[in-house]
Amino acid sequence: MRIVWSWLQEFCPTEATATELAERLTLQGVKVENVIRPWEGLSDVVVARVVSVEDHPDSDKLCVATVDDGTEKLVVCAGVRNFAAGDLVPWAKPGSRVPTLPEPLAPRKLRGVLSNGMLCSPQELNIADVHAGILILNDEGVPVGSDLKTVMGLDDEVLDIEVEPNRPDFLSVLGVAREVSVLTGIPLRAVETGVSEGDDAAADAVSITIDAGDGCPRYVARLVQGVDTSRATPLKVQARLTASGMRPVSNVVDATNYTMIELGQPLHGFDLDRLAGPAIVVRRAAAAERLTTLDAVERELAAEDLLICDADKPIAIAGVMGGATSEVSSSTRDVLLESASFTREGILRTARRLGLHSEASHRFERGVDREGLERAASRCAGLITEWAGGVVARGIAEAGTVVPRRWVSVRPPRASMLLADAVSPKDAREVFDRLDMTHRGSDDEIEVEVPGYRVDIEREVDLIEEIARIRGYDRIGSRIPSAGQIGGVPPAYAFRIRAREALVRAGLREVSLLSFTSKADLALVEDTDAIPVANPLQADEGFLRTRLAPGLLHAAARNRARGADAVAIFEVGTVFRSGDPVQEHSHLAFVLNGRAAGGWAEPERPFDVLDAKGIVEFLMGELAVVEWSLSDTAGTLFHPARSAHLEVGGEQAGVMGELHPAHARTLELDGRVAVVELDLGALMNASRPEFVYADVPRFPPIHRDLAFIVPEATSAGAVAERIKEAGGDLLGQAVLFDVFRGPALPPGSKSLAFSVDFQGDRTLEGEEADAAVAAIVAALGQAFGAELRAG
Amino acid sequence: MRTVLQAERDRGVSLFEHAEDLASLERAQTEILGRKSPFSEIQRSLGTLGPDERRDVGKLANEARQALNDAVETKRAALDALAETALLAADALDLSLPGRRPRHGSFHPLTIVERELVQVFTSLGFKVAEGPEIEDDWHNFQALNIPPDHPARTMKDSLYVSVPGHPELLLRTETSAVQIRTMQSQPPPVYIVAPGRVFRRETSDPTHSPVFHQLEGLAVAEGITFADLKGTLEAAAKALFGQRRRVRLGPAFFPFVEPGCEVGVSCFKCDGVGCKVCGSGWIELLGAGMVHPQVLENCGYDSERYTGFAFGIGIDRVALLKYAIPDIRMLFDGDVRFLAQFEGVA
Repeated sequence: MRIVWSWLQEFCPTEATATELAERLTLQGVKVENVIRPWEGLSDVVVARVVSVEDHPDSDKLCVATVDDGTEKLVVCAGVRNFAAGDLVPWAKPGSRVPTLPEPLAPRKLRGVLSNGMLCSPQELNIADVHAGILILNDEGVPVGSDLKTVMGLDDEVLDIEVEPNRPDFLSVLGVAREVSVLTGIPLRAVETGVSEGDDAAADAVSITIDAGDGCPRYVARLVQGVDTSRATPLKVQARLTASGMRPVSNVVDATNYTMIELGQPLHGFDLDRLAGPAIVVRRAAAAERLTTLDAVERELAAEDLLICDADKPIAIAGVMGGATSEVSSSTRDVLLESASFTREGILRTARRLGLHSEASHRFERGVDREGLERAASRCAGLITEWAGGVVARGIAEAGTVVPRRWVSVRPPRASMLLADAVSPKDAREVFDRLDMTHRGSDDEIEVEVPGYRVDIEREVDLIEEIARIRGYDRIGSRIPSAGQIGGVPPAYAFRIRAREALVRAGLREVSLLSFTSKADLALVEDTDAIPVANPLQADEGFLRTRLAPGLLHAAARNRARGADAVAIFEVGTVFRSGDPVQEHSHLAFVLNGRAAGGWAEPERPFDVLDAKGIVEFLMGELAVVEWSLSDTAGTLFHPARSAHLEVGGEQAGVMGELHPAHARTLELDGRVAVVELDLGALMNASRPEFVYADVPRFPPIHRDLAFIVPEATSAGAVAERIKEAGGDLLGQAVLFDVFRGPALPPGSKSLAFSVDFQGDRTLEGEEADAAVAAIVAALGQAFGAELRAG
Repeated sequence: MRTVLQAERDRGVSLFEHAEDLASLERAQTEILGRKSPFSEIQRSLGTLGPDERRDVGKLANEARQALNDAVETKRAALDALAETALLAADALDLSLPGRRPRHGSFHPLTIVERELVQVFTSLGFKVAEGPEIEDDWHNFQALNIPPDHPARTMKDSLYVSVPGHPELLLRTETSAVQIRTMQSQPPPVYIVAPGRVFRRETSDPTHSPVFHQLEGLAVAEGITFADLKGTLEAAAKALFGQRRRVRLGPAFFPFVEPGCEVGVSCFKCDGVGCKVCGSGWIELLGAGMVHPQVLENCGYDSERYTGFAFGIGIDRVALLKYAIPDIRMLFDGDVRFLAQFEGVA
C-alpha cells in the first residue's frame, strides 16, 4: 500500500519527517518497506504561456511553439499539437530536470530548429500515465512563471507499506493515520463528509433490496444528479492517485478511487439511467448466469457468487468488479454510488475462482470497516460535486443493518505472564485509551469494545498483542527455557547424517537439487507411478522426482560442459511415488564421471563402475550394513553388462552400474558414467543395531596364494564364495589380488588369484592347510571346472 | 715373529683405513687376516714355540687380530654409512610437488547450516522432529489457523499434487505442519525443531526458489513466555553468528502465532552500525511468536494451561547470509566449483 505523505498529514499532522515516522511505524507493526520520492528528479520546470504554435518547417510530426514564462520568450519543439496559443503548459527549460529523464535538459536542434528544452506530458512528470499530449494547466489556477513543483505539490513523499492480511485497516490513508495518531498522541482529524443536498430524496429515486443477508449485511447508496463527466480531475488529485498506484480515469471514477484510498471503503458508481427499476437487488447468482464485466470479459458465475442486480439483470459482481452495461460513461448524468458491506469469505472465493483480483476484492476479502459506509458515500459524493458538478440527492438509500461491535475481554495477569512483562490493569487501560477503544469491567478482566475497522481482534490474545505492540517489544526480557529433556535426533535423521558423512569421506561432493522432474526423465528411468504437480510453473517441473539419479546426471552434464574434468557428486533426498495415496522415500544417490585419478603422480584413468562399487563397499561398512549382494542387471538406464540390482536382506534396495552409452550420449556425458541409487530406509533396516567385540586371533595364520584358471564368464564373487564354503572353519579370509588373461592360459579362460589365510584356535600344521587347499581345489573344480594354476 | 706381527698389524690397519669401498676392504681383510696371510701362518705356527714364548706371542697375536677385526668393522660401518648417504641422496624427492591425496569430498552448505542449527537447538534440549513433504490441507493450513478462505493463503502460492481422490494434498509451504503432527502425537511439554524442505509456486530468481528449506521450532509447556522465545533465539543467533549478536523483536503477523514477531539480528558484518549487507544494522532473520491458542486447541491441548512459542528459520537464508552467497539458485545447481569451496567448512 502506498500512502502519500501530504495526504497522511491531512489526517494526522506530525512534526516528524517521513523517514523518521517510517521507522517508528515499523517498530509498531506498520511495516514501511521504503520511502518513495516520485518527484525526486523534478526541478525548475515552470508554468509558461503558449504565445504561438506553428508547423515545423521540416517535419510533419513536430510543431514549433513560442512560450513565455514571464522572464523570457523562447522557442520549443513539441511532438504533439494538443495545445494552442494562450494555453498554460509545463516548460522544462534548459538546465531543468524531469523525473523520467536521466540528464538535465539542454538546448537541442530538432531538424534544424533549436528547441529550448521541452514541454512535458503528464507521464513525463509522473502525474498520470498519459503520454498522448502536453499537460494543459489552464484550470489549475497556477500563475505563469511559477515553479511547477511548488504550485502542484510535486515534492511529496510516499510510504510504501507492506500490509499483512490481518490489518486491512492499513489499506487506507485513514487507517495509517490512526496508527500515527496512536504513536504520536496527535489527535486524528475528522473526515470531511459535509455535502449540500438537493431536494430529491435518494430513497425515492432507487429501491434497495438485500436477498442475501449472509453475504451483504448492509448496502448504502447515495445519488449525485446532473454530473459532467467530461471535466478533468484536478491534477493534484491525479498526481496523488498516481503516487498511490492508481490510474486516473475520469472524475467520477477518480472520486470513488480517491475515497477508497483515503477511507478504505471500495465504492462503485452506477449510471442511474441504465438501471432498470431503478432498483438495486443484492442476491446470489443463478447457476451458469453470465455477466460481462468492466474489462469486457463475459464471465460465467456460480451459485455462491454475490451479485448486484437492477430490476432485471446483474449489473456487478459484488465487491469484485462492476458490469460493462451500467458503468459510468461520458453520457452519464446521474450517478448512484454504492457503499456496501460484503462478508470476507464469499468475496475471496468468487475473486479467486474468476481469477479477478481488484482493489475492491483485495479489501473486501480482508475486511472493510462495516461502520464507515455512510461516511465514505458522503465523502465521495462531495468529491464528485467538487470535480464533476451536480447535486447530491437528499439522504441515503439503504438496506440491511450494521453488525454490532464485539466486546472482547483480557486479563492483565494473563498478559503479564505471556509477555513476561508486568502489565497492571492501569497499564492495559492506558493502551486501550491510546487505541481509542472503549473499555469497561474489573481489574481482573477488562472488556474492550472492538471498533469496526479492527477485524483482527477476536479473542484475548489479540488484545494481549495490542498491549505488547503499543508498549513496545523492546520491553520483553530474555530467558532460556529449561526443556527438562535431552535433545537429540531421530534414528532416520541420524542415519542420513551417517550416510552423508561416509560419502563425503569417500571423496564425493554433496549437492541439493530441486524435487521436480520432467516427463523425459521419467521415461529415461521407466517410472510410471510419478506424482504430477497440479499447477507447475514450468513444464520441466511437471512431476515429483521418483529417483535422485536423473537430477544428478543433469548436474554432472552441466559440470562437464563447464569444463570440470571430473564429477563425483551425491545427494541425499526425498523421492515420491503414488500409492495409498502417496509414498515418500529417503534416497541416496551418486554419480561418477570423468577422470578418476587424483593428480600428477597417478596414471590417468576414467571412473567406472568399480569405483562406484568401492564407494558402496565403503558406505556399507560405514553404515554397518553387513548383508548385501548384487543380482542381475539393473534396467534399461544402465549398461546391460555393467550394472546390477543391489539387494539388502534379500530385498531390492537400489541399483548400481554404468549408464547405458546411448543415454550418456543423450545427456551429453562423455565416457563411462557410474551411477548408484539406494533406498536409505532399506539400508537402515539392515544396519547392524549393536556391536560386540570379537576376539582377535592369538595364533599366526598360514598363508597361501592360490591362482585358478576358470572360464572367462565365471564370476569372481561366486568363486570367492565357494572358496569360503570349501575352506571350512579354518578359512580366515580369501582376498582376490589378481585377475590375469594372456597367451599362457587356454583361450577363453582367465586366472583369478586369491590370497588365502587359514586360521585356528591353535597353531595350525602345514598339513592341515594343505588339506583345506585340496578341498578348495576340488570344490572349485567341481563348481567351475577351475584348475589350480601351477605356480 | 713379533716383528712380523707388529708389521702386519700396522700394515692391516693402514690398508683397512685406506680401503675405498667395501670390495677393497674385503680384499684387504683376506690379505691381512685370511687363511693364507702371514698373520694366520704365524698363528698356525705357534705350536712350534716353547711354552713361554708361545703364550707371549699368542697373546700378542690375539691382541693384534682383535685390533684388526675392530678396524675392519669400524671401516665397514663407515663405508656402509657412506653408501647409504649416497643412496638417500640419489633418492631425493621434490617436496614442493603436490601430494598424493585422497579425493576431497564436501558437505553442501545447507547441510552445514542445518547441522549447526540442529546442534544449537539439541544442546538446548530440543528434539528433531520430521514430517512428510507432501502434506494435507488440514496440517499445512487449517490447523495452523489458516481456514480455506483466509487471505493469508494468497501470501504463499502453493504447489498442489494431482492424486485422484485427494485434492487436499499439496507440497508443504512451511515446516510448521510438523508442529501440528508433533502435538497430535504427544502430550506437552514439547520442545522440537523440524528442519526440512518446503515448496512455493515461485519462479527461480536470485532471491526466490520453488524449493527451499526451513527449520521450525516449537516449545509448548506450562508457563512459556515471550521472554523464553527471545532468549532461545538470542542463544541461536550467538551460536550461528558470534557471541556479540543481539536480537531485536518487531511486531509481525503470522496466522499461527499471536503475538507474532519478526526477529532481527544485529549485523555480523558491521556489528549493528549499518553496512551493505544489512542496511540498517539489523538483519531480519526469521518469523516467530507465541503459539496461537487456536492452534493449541486444534491439536487438543488446553490453551489456558499451556502456552508456547514457535519460530521458523530459513536455512537457505542463513546460508546465503553467512557465506555471502549472492544468488539462491547457486545452492541448487550442483556446480562443483561452488561446492568445492565448502571443503573443510563445518
